[in-house]
Amino acid sequence: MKKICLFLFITVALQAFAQNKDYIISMEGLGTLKLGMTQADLEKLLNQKIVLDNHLDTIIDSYLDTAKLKYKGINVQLEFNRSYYAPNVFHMRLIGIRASSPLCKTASGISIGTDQLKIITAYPNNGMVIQPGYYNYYETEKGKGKSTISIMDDSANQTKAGNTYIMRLFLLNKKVVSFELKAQLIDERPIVDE
Amino acid sequence: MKKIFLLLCIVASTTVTAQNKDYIISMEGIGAIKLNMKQAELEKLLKKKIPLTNPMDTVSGSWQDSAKIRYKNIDIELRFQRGYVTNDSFYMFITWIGTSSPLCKTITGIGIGSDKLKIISAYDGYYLSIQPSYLFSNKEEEIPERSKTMSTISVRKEEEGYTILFNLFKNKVVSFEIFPLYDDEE
Repeated sequence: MKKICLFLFITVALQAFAQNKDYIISMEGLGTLKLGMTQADLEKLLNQKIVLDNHLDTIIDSYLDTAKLKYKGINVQLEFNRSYYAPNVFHMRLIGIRASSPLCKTASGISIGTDQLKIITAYPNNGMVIQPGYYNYYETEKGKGKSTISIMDDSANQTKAGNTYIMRLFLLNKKVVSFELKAQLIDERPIVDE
Repeated sequence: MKKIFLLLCIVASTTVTAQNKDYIISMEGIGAIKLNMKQAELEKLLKKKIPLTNPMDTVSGSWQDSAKIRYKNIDIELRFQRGYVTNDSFYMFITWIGTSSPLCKTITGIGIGSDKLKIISAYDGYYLSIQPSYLFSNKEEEIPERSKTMSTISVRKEEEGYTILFNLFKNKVVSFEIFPLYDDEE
C-alpha cells in the first residue's frame, strides 16, 4: 500500500511539474510554443491544423496573420509573419504569442495580478519601457489605469545581428492582466552576391 | 526685537525659495535656463557673453556648438544649434542642457543620489525608458559590452518630446540631461 501511495505521489508531482513547464513564460515563448517556429512545426506540436485567415495587412495578402487557439487548455492568440527562405518560397513563422491565463508564469513568478514594482525589480539589467495605455502596433489603447511594460532581452540593445525578443506586460492599476511575447526574427533568405 | 527677527525670517525663507527655484529641473530646463532659449537671451540672463567656440560638426562650420557655463554657482553644459531666420541669417539656440550639481532637483525632489525606483514612482503615467549603458570599444567589429553599473532612465510626457534623462550609477542618479527627443533619434 505504501509503495502504491509513493508511486501515485511521484506521478502526480511529475505531472504537476510538467504542467508548470507548459505554462512558463520566457522571452522565447510560452512552454513549448517557441517564437520562430514555423506553422508546420506548430501544427505538429499541437496536433491540429492552424487556419490563417485573419490578415493583418491587406496590401500583400497574408504577410502578417493571426490565429486564436487552445494550447494545453488555455486560450492563446498567435501571430505569424511570412518568411521567404528561398526565392519565391515562404512559410509562416510565429512572431507573437498573447495570453491572459493565470496559469502562465515567468520563472521568477510574474503572472496575472503581479505588481509593477515586482516586475521592475525582477529584471534589473534588461532594457525596459513603461508607458501609459496598452501598446499595440497601430494605435495605443488609452484608458484610466492602463499601462504597458515592455522588457527587452539582452540582445535587443546590441548591434549584433540575431533574433530579438520583447516581453510585453499589460497592466491595469499596476497589476498584470495579460501579456504578449514578440520576436523580431532574422531574415532566412540566403545572402546572394550581386 | 521680535519684529526684526520675524522680518529676517521672512527675508531668509524668500531667498531660499528663490534659490530653490533657480535649481529646479523640469522638462523645459533648469531654473531660468530653458531649452530653445536663444544665445542672446541667455547672455542677457547671465549678464555676460557666451562665446561659442566648440563646433560639434566640422562639415558645415558651427551648425552645432557647445558651452560650459556657471549659473547661480552651479556648472552647466549647454549645446546649441543654428536656427535660420532667412537663408543667410541665423541665431544659436539651446538644444541640450546637462549638469551633475547636487543643488539641482526636480519638483518631486529627485536629485543626485536619488534611487531608480523613486524616479519610476515619481513619474507615474509618463513614458519611461530604462536602459543599461553600453561600453563601446574602438574596435569596429567588437560587440559593445553592457555596463554592470551604469544605466539611464529617460522620462517624457508623450511618446516624443522634451525629455529628462537621468544617468545612474549603481541605480543612483549621478547627472541629468534635458533635451527634445523624437522618434527618428531613438
